[in-house]
Amino acid sequence: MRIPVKKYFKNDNFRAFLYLLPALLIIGTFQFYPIFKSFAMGFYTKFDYLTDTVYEVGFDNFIYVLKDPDFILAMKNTCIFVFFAAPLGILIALIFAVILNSNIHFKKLFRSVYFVPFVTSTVSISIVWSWILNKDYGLANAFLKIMGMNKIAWLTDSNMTIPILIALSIWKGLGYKIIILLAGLQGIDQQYYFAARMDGARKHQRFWSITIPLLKPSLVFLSITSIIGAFKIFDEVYIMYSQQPGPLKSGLTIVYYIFNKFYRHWEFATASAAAFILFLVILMFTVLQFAFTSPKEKEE
Amino acid sequence: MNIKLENVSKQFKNVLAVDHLNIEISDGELICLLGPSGCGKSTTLSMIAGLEKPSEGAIHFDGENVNEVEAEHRDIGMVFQNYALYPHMTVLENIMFPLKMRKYKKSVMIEKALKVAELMQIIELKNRKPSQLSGGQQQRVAIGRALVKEPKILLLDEPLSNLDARLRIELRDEIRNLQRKLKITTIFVTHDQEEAMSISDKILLMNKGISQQYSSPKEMYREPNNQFVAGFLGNPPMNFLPGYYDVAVKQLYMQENGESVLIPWDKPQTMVGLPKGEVIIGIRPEDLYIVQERGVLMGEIKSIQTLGKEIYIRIDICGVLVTACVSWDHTYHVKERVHLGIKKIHVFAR
Repeated sequence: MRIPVKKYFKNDNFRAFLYLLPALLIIGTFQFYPIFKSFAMGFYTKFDYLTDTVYEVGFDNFIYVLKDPDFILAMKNTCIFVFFAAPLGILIALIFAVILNSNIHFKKLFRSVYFVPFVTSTVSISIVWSWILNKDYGLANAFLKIMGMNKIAWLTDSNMTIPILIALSIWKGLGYKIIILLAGLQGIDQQYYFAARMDGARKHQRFWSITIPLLKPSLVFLSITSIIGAFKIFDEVYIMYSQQPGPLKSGLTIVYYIFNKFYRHWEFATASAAAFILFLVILMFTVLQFAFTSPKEKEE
Repeated sequence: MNIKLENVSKQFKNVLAVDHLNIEISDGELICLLGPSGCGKSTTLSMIAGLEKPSEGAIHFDGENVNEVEAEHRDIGMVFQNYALYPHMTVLENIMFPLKMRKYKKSVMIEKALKVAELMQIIELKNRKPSQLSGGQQQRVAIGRALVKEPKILLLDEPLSNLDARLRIELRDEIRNLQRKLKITTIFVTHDQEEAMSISDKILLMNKGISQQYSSPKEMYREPNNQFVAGFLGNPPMNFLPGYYDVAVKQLYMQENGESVLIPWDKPQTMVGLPKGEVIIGIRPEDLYIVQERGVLMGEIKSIQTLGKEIYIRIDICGVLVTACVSWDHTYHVKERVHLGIKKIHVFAR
C-alpha cells in the first residue's frame, strides 16, 4: 500500500519547499509582514496602537511626512551621504583590491587588517571615532597639532557631519567590499590578461576592457547592497553624536527621523509612512540599477 | 619574420624549465615545439610571446633583441589552448579587439574583422557570445582574433587539444593551409607527435628543458639523434634491445640473458661519438619483417593485436619483448616460432 503523503515527499519541488519553509517563515514574519503592516499603518489617521483598532484612514500621514521640513532635511542629508559614500566606498575598495591582488608581500595580513572594521560592531567603532574626533583630547586634532595646524571642531561643526559619516562608512565597509572584489578579481582567468597582452592591450586598456567588465557582477552586487546600506544609516549618527542628530540636525537621516518619530514622539503612523517612503526610495534605486546593469540585447 | 633564440634559459623557483636553447626559425616557416608535458615547450612559447622573460640568453626577431619588449608591443598573434575568448564580447568584438587596442577607425575595424571572419568561415556567428559557440567555432574565432592585426608571427599553444579527433585533423589542415597562404612565421606547440609530423616544416623536440633534435619531421623519424627522440616518435614505439659493439671486429651483437646474436650492420656508424662496448639497438616495428627461415633474429609469438590495416605481433626474443608491425598476408598463431628480418637499425650509446 502506498500512502499518498509519501508520494509528495518524493516530489523534488515539494521537498525543496519543505527545506525552504523555516527560513521563509522567519523572513515572512519579521520582514514581509512588517513591510505590509507599516504600509497599512501609514494610512491610519485615527487609531489605538495598543488594541490595534483603527477608526479612520487616509493619506494625511504621507502628506504630513512629505511636507515636514525635518523629513525633507533628512532626505537631503541621506541622499548626499548615499551619493558620496556608496560610489567612493566601491572605488576605494576597488583600488585596494587591485593592489592586494597584485603580487605584494603580506597579502593575507593586509586582507585581515582591512576586514577587522567590518567585524567590529558599529557602536564600538562609532564610540572610538567620537573619541578620535574629540575637539580637546582627540587623536585627529593631536595629529593636526603636530602638523602645525589649527584644531577642528569635528563633531560640533555642522559642515563636518556628513563628510565624517561618509569617511566612517567607507572605512567600515572597506574590508567587506575588498573581500568581495578580491574574490571577483581572482575569478578572472589569467588567460584573458595574456590574450589581451598579445592583442596589444596596455595595462590601463586591460583594466578597462577586461577587469572591469568581468568584475561587473561583483560591482553590481556591491553597488546595490551598499546603496541600500547607505540609505539605512543610523547607528553611526546615534552613537557618535550622543543620541542627537548631529549639530544643527546636520546628521539627521531618514532612519533617524523614523526612529525619532517612533520612539521619542510616539507618532507611529507618521514613522510608518516615513519608513514606507524610504522603502519605496530604496526599491526605486534598486530597480533602476538592475535596469541599467542587466545585460542588454545588442542591436544590429 | 626570422626568430632566433640564443642560449635561452628559464629558471622558475627551483626548476630549470628551459635549458640553454638555441634555435633559429626562418621567415614563413611552421615550426612545431614537441615534447612530453613539462618539457619546457610552453615556457619557450611564452618567452617568444613575451609573457615570460628569459632568465638567460637573448631572443631576436629579424636580428633585433626583443628581450626587453613587452608582449603587448611585440605584434604577435597568439592562440591559446582554451581559446581565451573574452566572454563579455561578441565574436566580432573579440576579433576587433586587437584593432581597437591600436585605435583603428571603427569602419576600418569592422571591415577588417569581417574579412577575417569570412576567412575563418565564422561570419554567420559574428553576433554570438563565446559561450554560444562549440569548441571548434571558438578556436576559429581565436585564430581570427590572432590574425586580424596581420602579425608577423603566429603562436599556437596546443590549439587543438580540446577538440575531438575528427575536428582536430580538419582544423590542423586548415591552419597549415592558412599559414602557407599568409606566409606567416608560425610556432605550434603540441604534445601530439602525429600533429607535429603532419604539419610542420621543422620540429623542435624537447625533453626536460633541453632541445633533443631540431630538424624536419622526416629526418627526425629516419635519423633520430638519440634514444629519447627515437622512442618519442613512432607508434607503436621503437623496440630497444640491449646490444654490444665489438670495436676490434667491428661487429654488433644483441646481448640478453647470456646469449649473443650477431646483428648485421652494414652501415658504418655515422653518429658522432661512435658507440663502444655496450649500446642500445633500436628497431622500428615496421622495420621488422617475418621470413620463412634464416632470419637475423628468432623468437616466439606472445600475442597478436589486429588493427585495421596491419597486425602488431609481440615476439619474445631471448626474453626481450619486441613489437613487429606486419601485413595481413599470413596467418600467425601465438606460441609459433618465427624468424625475423631487419630492414633498418639504429644504434645509440647506452
